[in-house]
Amino acid sequence: MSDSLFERVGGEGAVNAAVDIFYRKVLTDDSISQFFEETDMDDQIAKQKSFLTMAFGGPNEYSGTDMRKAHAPLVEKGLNEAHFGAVAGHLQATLAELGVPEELIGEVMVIAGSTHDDVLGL
Amino acid sequence: MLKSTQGEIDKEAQKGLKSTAIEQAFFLACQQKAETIQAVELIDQELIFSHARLVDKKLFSDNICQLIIEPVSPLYYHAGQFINLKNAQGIVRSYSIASIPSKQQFIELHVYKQANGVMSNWLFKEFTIGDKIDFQGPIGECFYTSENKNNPMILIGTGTGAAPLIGIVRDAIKSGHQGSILFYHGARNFSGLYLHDILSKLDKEHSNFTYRPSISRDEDSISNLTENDSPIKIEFGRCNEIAIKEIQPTSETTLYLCGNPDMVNKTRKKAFLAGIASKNIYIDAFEYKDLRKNDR
Ligand SMILES: Cc1cc2nc3c(=O)[nH]c(=O)nc-3n(C[C@H](O)[C@H](O)[C@H](O)COP(=O)(O)OP(=O)(O)OC[C@H]3O[C@@H](n4cnc5c(N)ncnc54)[C@H](O)[C@@H]3O)c2cc1C
Ligand code: HEM
Repeated sequence: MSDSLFERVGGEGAVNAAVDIFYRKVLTDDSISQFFEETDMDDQIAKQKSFLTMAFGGPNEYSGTDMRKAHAPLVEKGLNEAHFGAVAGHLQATLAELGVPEELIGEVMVIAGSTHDDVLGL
Repeated sequence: MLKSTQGEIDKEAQKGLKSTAIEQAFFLACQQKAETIQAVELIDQELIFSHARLVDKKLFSDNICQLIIEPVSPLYYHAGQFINLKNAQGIVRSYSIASIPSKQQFIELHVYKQANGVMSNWLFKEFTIGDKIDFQGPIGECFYTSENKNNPMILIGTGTGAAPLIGIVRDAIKSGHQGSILFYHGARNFSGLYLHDILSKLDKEHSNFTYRPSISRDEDSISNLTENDSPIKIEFGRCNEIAIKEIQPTSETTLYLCGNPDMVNKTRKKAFLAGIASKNIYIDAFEYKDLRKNDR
């Protein structure tokens, strides 16, 4: 049996390497930074790790309903298609920066894309 | 997260943790094989109080004093961690450790006298040499680890935020730190730069140590200083802003931030965006909470 996507992307090591790069992109993107303004950086970094682990197809405990619940307050604040696109773009750029092969990035983007309706509460 | 008190920890169970957490034998329970750990401690459990005695007390300035306390039983600690002191009225407050462990078992603390502050005024006025005091700890992850011996270190502190930072610098120097050490100390006026002589001397004696003092309000307090009073130039401005403007961090840079919580949190984000890795940023925000009502 072939390794899981999570292992092929680089597992937990890849999550740890990606989290700083990804979080920096999110914080400096004025179109979405307002959603990540929570002052406690430790909390934010832990949540970014959950996001990356999930997108990399790693072990996580989130159901579609959980995703809906986690993002519902954001949808109320105006979370929309454009924001989703921006986050997806930063995820893709982060992986490219880390030298993750194109095909694997494609697989990650499919997972991220599959959360679209739940994240946006559609 | 748990703390191992006996047994072997898997490298797996410490992946992604800060090096200061690893040094304290913390690990992620979900990643650890049970048979290799024989004893654990829940790290958030209520810490028990132990006793210490005040052996020396002196003023650094009108409103900052140095306390030297001696624990009744030997204490294993890292400079930069903090302890919670409890006075006779049951008031509990945190104070950071400025000393490094030595044979004498003395712990050095620096206390700023807060206007109307219950504990700090009590420590200033009532607490006298020979008196006993209860304390919890040591607590915290803001300290030096010698695995980063060659990395550049930047320290930024306001007011008595310099207490943990000078402890960390003392530890680094004693451990033979090879990388550069850049210390930004900020205060409102010149007397707030209460370690000016000590830090200036370290700057002179150690080629890899640089002291960068600044004051943010009372410019008059430095306008009449001569080259003799202060061979090192004191900037006018906020130390964190001065630091963020001039530092050129690499992915190896370690940053220590202590003191005013607002300064600590803002600077942490800015330094992160300037390129310092999140796991290489150690902070101690001096939050003003009453520990009896609110655990921290
Ligand atoms: C991890 C940690 C480490 C610490 N290390 C040190 C240390 O090494 N040295 C040190 O001097 N202190 C340190 N502190 C702060 C210390 O614990 C006390 O909070 C401080 O001494 C004030 O306590 P107090 O009882 O005198 O004042 P309180 O009686 O608690 O406060 C008196 C009044 O002043 C206000 N107040 C308190 N501080 C401020 C402030 N900075 N700005 C504006 N208003 C304020 C309060 O809201 C209150 O109204 C540390 C705090 C933490 C969390
Ligand atoms: C691309 C698909 C996305 C996935 C897979 C995803 C996944 C996650 C996960 C796993 C969490 C952690 C939940 C928790 O443990 O509390 C989370 C939280 C969060 N997400 Fe997303 N997310 C996505 C898109 C977005 C977008 C587009 C935004 C905003 C622009 C966003 C903003 C947030 C915020 C702010 C939180 C923290 C909420 C809180 O503070 O509780 N996410 N997300």
